Amino acid sequence: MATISRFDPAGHVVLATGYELAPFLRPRGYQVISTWALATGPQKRSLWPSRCLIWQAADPYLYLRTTQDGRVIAGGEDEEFSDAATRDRLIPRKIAAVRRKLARLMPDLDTRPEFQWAGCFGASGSSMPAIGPVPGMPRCLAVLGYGGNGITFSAIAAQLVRAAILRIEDPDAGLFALA
Amino acid sequence: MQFELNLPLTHLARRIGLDRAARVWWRSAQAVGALAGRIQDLGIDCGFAARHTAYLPGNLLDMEGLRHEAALRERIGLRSRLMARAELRRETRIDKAGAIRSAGNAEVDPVRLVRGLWRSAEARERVPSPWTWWMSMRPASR
Repeated sequence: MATISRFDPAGHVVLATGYELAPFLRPRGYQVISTWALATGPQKRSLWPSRCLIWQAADPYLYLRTTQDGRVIAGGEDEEFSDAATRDRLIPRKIAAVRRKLARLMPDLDTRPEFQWAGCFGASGSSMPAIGPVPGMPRCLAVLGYGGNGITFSAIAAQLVRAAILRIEDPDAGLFALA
Repeated sequence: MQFELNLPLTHLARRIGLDRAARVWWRSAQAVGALAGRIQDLGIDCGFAARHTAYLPGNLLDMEGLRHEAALRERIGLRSRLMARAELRRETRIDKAGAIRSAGNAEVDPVRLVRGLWRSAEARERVPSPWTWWMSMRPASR
């Protein structure tokens, strides 16, 4: 817990705290989700020809992709977060499930994980992030609920937050605004 | 790094209306392109590779659902189209009835990307270096 010893009263604060939210933020339908993933060893000869990103129209969905050094990263088995200890205790079972599904889709792959991990993200029921001014708190903005799409949504957030601070109207500000 | 949301366009449109759902999906597609441009402009070495996605059938959308989803995405101008079994097998070696193929997505190493963005901001003095930041956080009782 850090204490800010200098604060510029003319500036802004942008809360980008990941899945743990400041206590005054209570978005409707917000959930913290646990997710699990593995990375195999390098296996360039076994990878699919297009190296495209693959995922499913499912909930929860399996996703898989390749890396520059020829590994496969695969993950999913999402469920609602209870606590970090439970999430981590489930790693062997969840990774086994990811491996089974991966092997069914791609029988030619070596699915043995060289790395395996668990993590969390915050999500809304609509799968949309919430980005923008915090109601009732001048010059305070927040970005949250990126779901499984953090990189793309953080790019949208950077654009919307910049516009808000520069006081340039962004036509999509209302679409992503905090309730 | 992809523009597709976890909730299909057809489902999101039922929730919030097509007008708003279309704008969310367009904005998402635009953001991927903007970030790719930023990576290029700043010269960040993060294993960036343009990739398309293959969106397989599952418990949210079966093949019929995928067909409607692909049709709506195409209709509003997104870079998605349905691919049938043969093309899916050629691209992925996966044997299923088909999938939605979407262009304009990418693969990156997220750690190298963030490190590159941070270092770039540091170099442009948009954020203090870790040392400067640490010194500024200490009590003012000096």
